[in-house]
Amino acid sequence: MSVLELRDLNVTYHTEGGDVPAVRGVNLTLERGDTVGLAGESGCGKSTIAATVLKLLPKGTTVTGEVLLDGEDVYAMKPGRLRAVRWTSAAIVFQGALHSLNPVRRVGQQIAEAIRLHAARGATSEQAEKRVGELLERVGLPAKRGQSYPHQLSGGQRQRVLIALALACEPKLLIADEPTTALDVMVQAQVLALLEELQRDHGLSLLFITHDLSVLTHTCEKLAVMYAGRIVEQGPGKAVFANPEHPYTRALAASFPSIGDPSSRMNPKGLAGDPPDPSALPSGCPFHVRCDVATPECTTLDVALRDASPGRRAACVHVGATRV
Amino acid sequence: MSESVAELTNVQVQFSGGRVRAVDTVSLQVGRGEVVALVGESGCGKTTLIRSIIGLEPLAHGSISVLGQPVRGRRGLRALRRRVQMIFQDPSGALNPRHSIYEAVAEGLRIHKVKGHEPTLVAEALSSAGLRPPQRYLRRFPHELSGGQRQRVLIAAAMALQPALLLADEPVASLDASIRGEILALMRSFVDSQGVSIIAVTHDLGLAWNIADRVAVMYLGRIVEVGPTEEVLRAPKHPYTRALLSVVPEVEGMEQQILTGETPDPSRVPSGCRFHPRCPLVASGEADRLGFGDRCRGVDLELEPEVGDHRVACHAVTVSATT
Repeated sequence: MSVLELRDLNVTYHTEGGDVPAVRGVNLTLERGDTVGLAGESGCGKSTIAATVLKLLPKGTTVTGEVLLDGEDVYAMKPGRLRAVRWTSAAIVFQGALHSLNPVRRVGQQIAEAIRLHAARGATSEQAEKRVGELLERVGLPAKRGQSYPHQLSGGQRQRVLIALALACEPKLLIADEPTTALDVMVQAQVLALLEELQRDHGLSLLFITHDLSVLTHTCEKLAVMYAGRIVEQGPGKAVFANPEHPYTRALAASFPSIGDPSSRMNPKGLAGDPPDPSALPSGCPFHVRCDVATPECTTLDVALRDASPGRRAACVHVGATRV
Repeated sequence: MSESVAELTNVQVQFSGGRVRAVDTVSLQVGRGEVVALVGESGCGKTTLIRSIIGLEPLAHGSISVLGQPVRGRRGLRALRRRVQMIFQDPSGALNPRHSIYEAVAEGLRIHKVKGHEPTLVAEALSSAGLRPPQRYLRRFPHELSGGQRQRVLIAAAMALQPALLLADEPVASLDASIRGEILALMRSFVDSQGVSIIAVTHDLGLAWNIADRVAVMYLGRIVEVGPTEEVLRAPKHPYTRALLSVVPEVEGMEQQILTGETPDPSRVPSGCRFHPRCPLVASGEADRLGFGDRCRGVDLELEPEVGDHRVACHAVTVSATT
């Protein structure tokens, strides 16, 4: 059974400015031990998906479709069941490590609290304390760091604490939402290596969300690229980055300079225009206004994901069967 | 490039009464129309160094001159402030949320009493920063723009004053990858069209590859390697530069060298070569095998004396050069 399955997921926020469809018909499956990367620009809906999996969206948000954790629909769960599933089935690591921790409590206490409240068989405080030490050591921190307050730790150490916190109840699925974005290059490499190790040694499934496509291809076997609330390209990580099918992925991949490559020397590449406003999407393929290969039909025709080549899918009229 | 726009000589910036040497004896020259990328981890002193160029940090030792004028005293600074402009990482924080885009650009023109028809100058500045047509942006407010557009406004405001030197502190770190390239291309275009010089502080080596003529790598307040971008990034000499390059996901074919430990603390600079506690050459015992391990641990060193464009501060390099 899949660890996570999203079936035709649609998420619409209701704001004073009107309805904002943030996620529009996303299908995604994670098997046990899978590492899946979800990439895209600000506002493409990738973080909304993270919040949707554990039902952490603001009140009143409309969700249709199914979110299956181990085959069980999260949105059909009773509150007690939902609370049990959070942390034990799936846990999230967010970007801002400073804001996710309580500033006036020692980090060890915060991890212990999660264990006491969520662990399946309950735990005494001695057991919880011992477990906190183990968890901190597993993420590469000395156990005595549990005595520290968040402000006494560096950014990288705080991110490690958040990962330890997410692992507190041995979840099968870890959702990492921009876990390395605020970190220095060297610390980012340390955290990525840690996530890879955890995934490998503990059979963890990992859903890795970031705007940094280059990080994902390094870490993730499978990659899904989102644009305007939809997955527009899907396939093996390295292949998608090296040989993109969708024009959007192509532009995104090209905006990462490869050091040593003469074609990007003194020649920064980007993607003209801004990410679309989800509350006012262009007609047809929402990418056509920024696309360098758009044809007249793109202004009216919004194609779904289709087979592009073996193991690859893309949502573009120019790929697959009609390709010339 | 013979003419130098900024000249830093043995600059030292200290905090906490000299206990912390954030910048420890740095010399750097920036030529006209030259882009220098200053790279390194948080806390290496790169931001402090460029702040000292506009007089925001007092120097403990050394001197800085811009366009031949020393950066010193109130009069010296006032004369310089128009010729040296700065842009920051977070464009939202740098713009007043209650000022329109017009105001954001016009304010600098008024402060520096720039001659000309103000509305025309503002429109031209926005247009040259890629905000076209400018009329569409004049009456808008920062929150109505995207992150990339806000950074363009700040670049427009800075470039409207026709500076000789632009200091850019992580100019694209907060932007989406897709927008990043456009902003870098814009910065480079001002170098080519107006001959402005840029010092860009960044931890992103890709930025250096994209726009910089030269790269200076900083570690704990010192420049440990400096040289033409192509040489430093293609054939790095310092083990620290090599490690930084190896963890960039886009660099293929390089074995990852993840340095352990945290970014070092400038209030506790290690003895000897300040990088030695994290240096792979020392940790692997190679430095000792080759007979210079004791120097790494015991002898502090600065950039090797001027022997060419590409200079480095590393005992391993000095030893191999003399044998």
